[in-house]
Amino acid sequence: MMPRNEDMHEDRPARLSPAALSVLLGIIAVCFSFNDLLVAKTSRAWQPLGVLAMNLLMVGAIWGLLKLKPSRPKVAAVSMMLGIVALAGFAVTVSVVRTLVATKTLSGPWPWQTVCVFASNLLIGVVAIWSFLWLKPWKEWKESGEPLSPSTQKARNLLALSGMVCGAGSVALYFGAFSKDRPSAFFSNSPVPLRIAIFAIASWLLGQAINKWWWYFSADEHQRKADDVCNLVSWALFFTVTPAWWVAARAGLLPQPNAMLLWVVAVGAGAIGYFWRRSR
Amino acid sequence: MKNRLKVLRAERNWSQAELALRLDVSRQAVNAIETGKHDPSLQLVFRIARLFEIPIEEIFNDAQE
Repeated sequence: MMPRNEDMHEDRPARLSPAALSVLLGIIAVCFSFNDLLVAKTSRAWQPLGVLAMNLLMVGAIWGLLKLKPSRPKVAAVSMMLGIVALAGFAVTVSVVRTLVATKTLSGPWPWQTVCVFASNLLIGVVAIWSFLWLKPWKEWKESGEPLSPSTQKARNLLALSGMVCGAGSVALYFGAFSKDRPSAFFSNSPVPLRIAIFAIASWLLGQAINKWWWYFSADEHQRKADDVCNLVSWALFFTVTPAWWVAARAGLLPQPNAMLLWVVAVGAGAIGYFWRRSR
Repeated sequence: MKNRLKVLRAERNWSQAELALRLDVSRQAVNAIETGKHDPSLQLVFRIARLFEIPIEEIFNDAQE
């Protein structure tokens, strides 16, 4: 007799049409690129190309994920990336308004570059949210109806809690970080108000405590193996790249090492390692 | 490591999710064990043997044999 529910998620059709979402992602890529070209006038010549390459890489990663078979890890990864894109877009629009308020030019007239940056980033946020709503990631769990073991349920709840706690700090930092030189100051080294910094640091530490300790010891051994791969990949990448960049900066080949850029790349590589180990 | 988990599960008409619930692991863990992509810990091996009420050797076997 055949077992029921076996690998049921693999037979589920994709909710998103790859062709349709490709168009949406194309809009995001064009908006990001346009925005980079506008705000990069004070930076070095290679920076717009670097940022453009990173944006296209992220959009390409979302598109590439959609080409895979429908599965929960895929939906989760795409949802997370769309969330980041939406957050980035809305944060820049808020920063533009704050800049206009600070310079007392909110009533206008606005420079055309400001209008373009505001509109393009608003469009990025709206398109990303629209894509997220279209994806309906919450249905992946509701529709399956499969029973969950207590440890799996607990691990999921803790992961969601950890995400919410860290997310609250990130949102505060996104909207609180402010620079007159760049519309988006999240990954810059510009000053952060003290109360926002304290909130962001506290939420990060609490979220990591939940994730790295409480979740880790609630998850089953298969999840822990995947997390071990994630940690190993992240650490290996950070360990290998950082000294090379440091030496290259001293030789004048590269700018000073950017801790947050290294962190983002390490997290991205770790996430790929996690999903590879979890769903291979 | 080869195993008969899928056969034993099918004999009892359990889904992967139902077996996962009984073993207190995730469905992905059961799938990974069945397909030989994850070697379970000794603790989980004993739990599986107790659940099916058969010796470990009748569920898992070393591929070298």
